[in-house]
Amino acid sequence: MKKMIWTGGIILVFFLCLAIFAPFISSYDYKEQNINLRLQPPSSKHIFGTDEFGRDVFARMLYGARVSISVGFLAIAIATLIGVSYGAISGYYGGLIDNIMMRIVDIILTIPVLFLILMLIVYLGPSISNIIIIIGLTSWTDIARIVRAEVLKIKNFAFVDAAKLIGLPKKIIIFKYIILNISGPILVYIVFGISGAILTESGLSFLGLGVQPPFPSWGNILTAGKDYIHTAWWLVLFPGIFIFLTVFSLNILGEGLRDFFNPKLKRE
Amino acid sequence: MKNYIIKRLLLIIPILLGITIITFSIIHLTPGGFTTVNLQMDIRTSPDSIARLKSLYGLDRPLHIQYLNWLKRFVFFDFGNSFLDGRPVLKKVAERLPATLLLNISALILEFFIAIIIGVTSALKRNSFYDKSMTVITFIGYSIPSFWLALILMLIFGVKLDLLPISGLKSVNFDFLSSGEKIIDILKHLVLPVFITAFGGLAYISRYVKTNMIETLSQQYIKASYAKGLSENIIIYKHALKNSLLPVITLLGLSLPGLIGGSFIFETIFAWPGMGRLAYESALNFDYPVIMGVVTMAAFLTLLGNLLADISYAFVDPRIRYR
Amino acid sequence: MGNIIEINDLCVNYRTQNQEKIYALRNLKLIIKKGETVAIVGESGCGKSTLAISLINLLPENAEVSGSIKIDGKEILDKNNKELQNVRGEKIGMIFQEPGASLNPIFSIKEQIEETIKFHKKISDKKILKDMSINLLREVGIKDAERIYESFPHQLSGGLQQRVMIAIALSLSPEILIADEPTTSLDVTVQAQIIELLNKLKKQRNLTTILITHDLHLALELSKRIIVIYAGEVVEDGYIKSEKDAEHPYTKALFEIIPDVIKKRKKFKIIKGELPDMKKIYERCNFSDRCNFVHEKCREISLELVRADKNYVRCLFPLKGRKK
Repeated sequence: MKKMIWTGGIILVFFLCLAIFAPFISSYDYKEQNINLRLQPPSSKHIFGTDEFGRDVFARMLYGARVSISVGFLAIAIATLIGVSYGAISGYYGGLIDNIMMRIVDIILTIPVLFLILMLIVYLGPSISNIIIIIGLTSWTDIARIVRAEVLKIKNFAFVDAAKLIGLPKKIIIFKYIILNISGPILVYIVFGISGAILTESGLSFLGLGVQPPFPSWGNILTAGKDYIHTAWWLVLFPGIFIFLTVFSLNILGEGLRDFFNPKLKRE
Repeated sequence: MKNYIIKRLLLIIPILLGITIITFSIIHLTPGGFTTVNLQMDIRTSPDSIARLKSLYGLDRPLHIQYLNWLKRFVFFDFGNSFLDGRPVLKKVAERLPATLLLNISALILEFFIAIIIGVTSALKRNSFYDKSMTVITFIGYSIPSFWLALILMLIFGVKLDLLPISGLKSVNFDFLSSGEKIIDILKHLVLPVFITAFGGLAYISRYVKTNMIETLSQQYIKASYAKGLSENIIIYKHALKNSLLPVITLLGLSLPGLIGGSFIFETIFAWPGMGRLAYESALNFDYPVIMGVVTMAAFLTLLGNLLADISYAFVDPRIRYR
Repeated sequence: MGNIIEINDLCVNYRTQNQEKIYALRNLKLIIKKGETVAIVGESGCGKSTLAISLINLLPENAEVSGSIKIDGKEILDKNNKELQNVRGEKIGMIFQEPGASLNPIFSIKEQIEETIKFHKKISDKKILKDMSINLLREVGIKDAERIYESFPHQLSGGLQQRVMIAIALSLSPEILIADEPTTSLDVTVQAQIIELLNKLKKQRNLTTILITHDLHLALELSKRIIVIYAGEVVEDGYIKSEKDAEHPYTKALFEIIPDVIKKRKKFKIIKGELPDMKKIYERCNFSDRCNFVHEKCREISLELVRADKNYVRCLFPLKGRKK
């Protein structure tokens, strides 16, 4: 459990550092084309080789890390914001409002999420901000359910009424205790959500609907590279490994955290 | 039980209504659209001809009227005709559904089969080296971008080793094969896509089975079974396994939504002639009737699948059956 | 009559996740004669349930055992799983607290009674199995046995569930019946019925019966010989009928906390304090911190179980006999 948190955390921090310190790590410009150096295999000068325009792949991967990781983080930030407020409102008001709000969640869950994202991106256009917003708008249902369940549980506890008697507004009490009680599950959700969002973006890129060139994302580097798969394996291998390692680190971090916050496992 | 099923069937109606309203709003309220994309590129089109085309497809009328018209036809299972080639939507979907179902049901069976074995054995050998390596392997499957894995495996097995076909459902010479060879041909085409789809889902299901199994093994009736002097095999494979697999039925129902319309990335890589690709193509081409048809039918099949899962759960669990 | 159970120097400790040890049973000695009825009494956490599952060698994996448990002269602790199958169910039947949790919710009562008989006696004739099962259900006082036979656990009341558990425990005609808190989760009226049933069965079948309970009152209903356990040790063992017979201060304290309807005590009494830290072994009387009759010397040496007046008692200053 702790091992998983540490392993996942360290790999994740490593990639975060790559993204943050990109300009200091590579001296190449990710946009700079050099037709004379097309499709060079990895060498000491270009450790991940060059692409079809002679751009340094390593530099593009570093800046791609910025795009891919921030798409993941920002999309899930939006989803968390929506999910927490939606779940809290639904659980707090209860009754008919809750019923309607939860049926809406059921409906959204029945539509294939990827297809929903696809439609929205086709119609709104694949800009980075659109991708972030759309992934965010389609990933909040799970967290809304967790928060709602928790609010329903806490709402009727005696301490909430007690707090009301001494003049504290019920809403503040509930909100405070929800945050205390479910910060664990929310964190787990966020970690898994980010890994899912990174995968979704790369999948969209693969269809040409993700982040658009010249901005590099791991997904679109890989996609551009797939046409050269027989001659320039490095264009496909490295982005795939980067996506995999980042998603893997997030997943084992999430798994470790889930066990960590699971009271059942603690008792043993 | 009968009342329950009727109630659940009736509940499908409002959910389907909701889904169609959401989809309808998305495709009609967003900027761009069929007429703009398909006609404005063409210099010969005048604003006049665009208007004529819009009125031909009923796109000039108010939105709620358009929706009601769609709904009216939907009640009679008429999804209209594709904007692209004018063929009935129902026919287009019917062509694509078998390939999607074949791929996804095979993948689902393989996925649950392997995941249950991994889950149960890991629970029995908890914290052993085996358990830990299974966790790592299934997590690799869960984390690996499926299209990337597909590319690599296609390169290795399809191109380098030339063992497996890498695209489509059938070979070019399919029609000339004997029926036995036809089956083998389709199976060969299934190997890579089925394996990759199943690999990705292992982690979630095996983890679920494992947690359930551990939970079940700690129940008092397991202790009581030991006290009865039953053998370990009977206790594990009759008492514990059956109890811990019951909730998996629900999971099976829950894993349906993504299957029918959500596998377009996959179907694109393998050039699989399924619903996912139909959905993808229709979205790219603003082919509204097809989009509506695919989403509605995928949702309907999902709801039906969920209902079936719940009914079979009730059927195998006496606590619900005899209520 | 010979000894059916001989326990010698039985120590059981549980390893916790932090690699600490909980000493649940400490050098326990106990002899039970064939056909005898004993009640093992103690508060929760004192090790009495550990003792019960030790008798069929069903301790969890994190338990370490030493010492010896002999059933009919044969050592239980070094038997492997296969050999234990011939003890569990056949030699010793066992029922637990919360009968609802002891029955598998997804199998019918029929299945759960018959699987035991099928497995041990290799009988597969459906008619014979059914007759045996129905007879067992009748024997434990179930009137509409045919209907109960076909039903599922969740359809039965707690009392019926416990009767079914008793029927299963007796299905292989064991010589020993261990009842671990059999009535704790049941209503008071049902409790009385189950105790009455156990009383009847032990006479009819000449069972060696071991009742494990925290409720001294219940123990007195069923058994003459009372064994009081405190912090993993036997503190008193003897024939006890009432408070007057208690020779150990702890036993006396247990009597005092029985709510007495007739005398109408003004308030509920409790035994002050709690069990000592089970992770440590003290060189002194474990009960000394809670004892009303404590003496300096009690905190200086550890004690043996020795005869006081009539009973065997682990106390420097027993309430009866051996007084200075």
